[in-house]
Amino acid sequence: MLQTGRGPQIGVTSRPTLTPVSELHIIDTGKSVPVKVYTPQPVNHWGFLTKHASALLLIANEPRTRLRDIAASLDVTERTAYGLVADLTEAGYLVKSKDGRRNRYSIQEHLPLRDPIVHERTIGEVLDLLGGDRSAQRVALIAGKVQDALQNEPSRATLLLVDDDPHVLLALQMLLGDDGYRILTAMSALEGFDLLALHEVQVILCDERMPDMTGTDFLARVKEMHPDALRILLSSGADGEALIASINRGEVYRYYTKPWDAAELRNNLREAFRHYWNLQDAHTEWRTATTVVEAAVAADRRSGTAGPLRSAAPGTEPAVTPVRSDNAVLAATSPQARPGGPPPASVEPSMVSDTVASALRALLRIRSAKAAADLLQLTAEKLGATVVPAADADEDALPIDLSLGEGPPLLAVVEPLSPARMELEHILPRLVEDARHAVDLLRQTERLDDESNHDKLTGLGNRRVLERVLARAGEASSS
Amino acid sequence: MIDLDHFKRINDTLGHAAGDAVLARFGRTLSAEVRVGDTSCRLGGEEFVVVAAGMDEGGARELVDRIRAAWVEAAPHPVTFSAGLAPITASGGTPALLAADRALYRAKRCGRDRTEVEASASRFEAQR
Repeated sequence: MLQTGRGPQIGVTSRPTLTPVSELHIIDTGKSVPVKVYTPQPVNHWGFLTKHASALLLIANEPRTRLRDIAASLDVTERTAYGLVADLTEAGYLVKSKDGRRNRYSIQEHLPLRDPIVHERTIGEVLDLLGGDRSAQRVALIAGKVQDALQNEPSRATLLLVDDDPHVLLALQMLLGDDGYRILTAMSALEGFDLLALHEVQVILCDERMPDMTGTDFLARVKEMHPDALRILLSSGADGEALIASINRGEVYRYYTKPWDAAELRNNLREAFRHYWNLQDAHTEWRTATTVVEAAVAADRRSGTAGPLRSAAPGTEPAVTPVRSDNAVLAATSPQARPGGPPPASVEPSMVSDTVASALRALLRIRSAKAAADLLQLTAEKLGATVVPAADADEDALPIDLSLGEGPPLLAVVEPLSPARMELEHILPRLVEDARHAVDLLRQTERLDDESNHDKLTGLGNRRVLERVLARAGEASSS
Repeated sequence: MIDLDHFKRINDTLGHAAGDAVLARFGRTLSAEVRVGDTSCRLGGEEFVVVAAGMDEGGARELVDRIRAAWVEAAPHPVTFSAGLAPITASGGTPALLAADRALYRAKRCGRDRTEVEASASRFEAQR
């Protein structure tokens, strides 16, 4: 029967369509040179890798003769690791050598859909599991177990299904089993919380009607604990008011009505994962850049050396064409941006993540808190909102202040229940947080500039301080 | 903009340590006399600039007189200074700095130890 949590019943390995020939075995002796690799036939067809997320990389420290035995039982051919790495790279996998050792590799991720296949196990472990039986079926079974044990990869695309009806769970697993996700299933909200605590989950698909808790209540609580996870509700269609209220509180990213359209659901889940990774990548890039700035601030503070901070931190220069003002950065990368104009009718997830990425890049270049606030407002407008003073906003406005304390509070108004609304609910809180962080960094660097730009002899400011003060004074007298 | 008069003579006759002491003391005098929120800078050599936001010509003249009076008390060696004043207008801070520099030049030419005012950058341009 259906099980939940960790175990062989969970995840891609339990699907019956898996055949031994779809496994990739790289068996590395770790001793002999050149390294030999064993792969299934035909080796020049790598389509199966993109189709099945079940490849295995087995790193070995065993004598060649034993490996040959295993290779024979696996019905594979021998080739060099380097040739294989080249083929995998061409197929879109990111292959990295382990710890700089050229005879140890791990396949880290599959770029198109991120089915990371980070599979390492000593061959000894596998051989122990195999015992005397080396039939193809037995090998496939062991491979499945090893893979199960390896599935706690944090970067693995993980989907949580929550429904009290085992038939629905089974149907969803069958439907989505070939899409390369690690699938976790829970038959109650409580079980769902347990799984969320144990695993990193990017997308949650949840039924509305469950005995211990409604789906909307479940997702509301999930939002508190895992705000980044994309929360999708399966509604029976009769959940009207509760659902609308939940969407309006930003707890649900998408919803589908049972019975679902199989192709649509599959496509949209794939889209949701891609969207999640794109946003995550933008924020990772941002975090990396801000970390560089912070490190540079700390280093400057220690050494007490002068100089413009940003040129001391080359990693912070974003890969966009240099432009004069912060807003121009966004405008240059967003031809559709029309502040004050009518919002776009629909919102493409790729457009959303592009917009967020360019906004985050522009945040690194801001020169004032006002510029950060302007950027936030422009981004919200680009994503379909109208930005109005809080005093003029109705109850449909998102309860997130976009002013950053520069002037009166500003709220984003966006049509209830629209795709744009769901995107903004998801994105804006974190973006505002990042903007605050950017302003904070700016203040730190300015303070550092002040400290390092003082004349040692008199304690007065130097020419750089004067230029900044004069620029501000000029602005003040012109407004 | 303020420039100490004949500063080079101090360095030449009393040595650089004495010159530095004069500059440091003048810096302290400036800091003590300007309002909170005003910015005083040393541009290098014996040249100083005070940016006093929102201050009119009368206020600026008073400020310079105050600095002059304080400096007579504080100066470790007898050194006078010349000052050039200019308003910061909508044309920006840099034109104001250039205008103050021209006023300062006039003060130097007229005998030093005095204050001159350049009313506006544009008027000066018209005169030329």
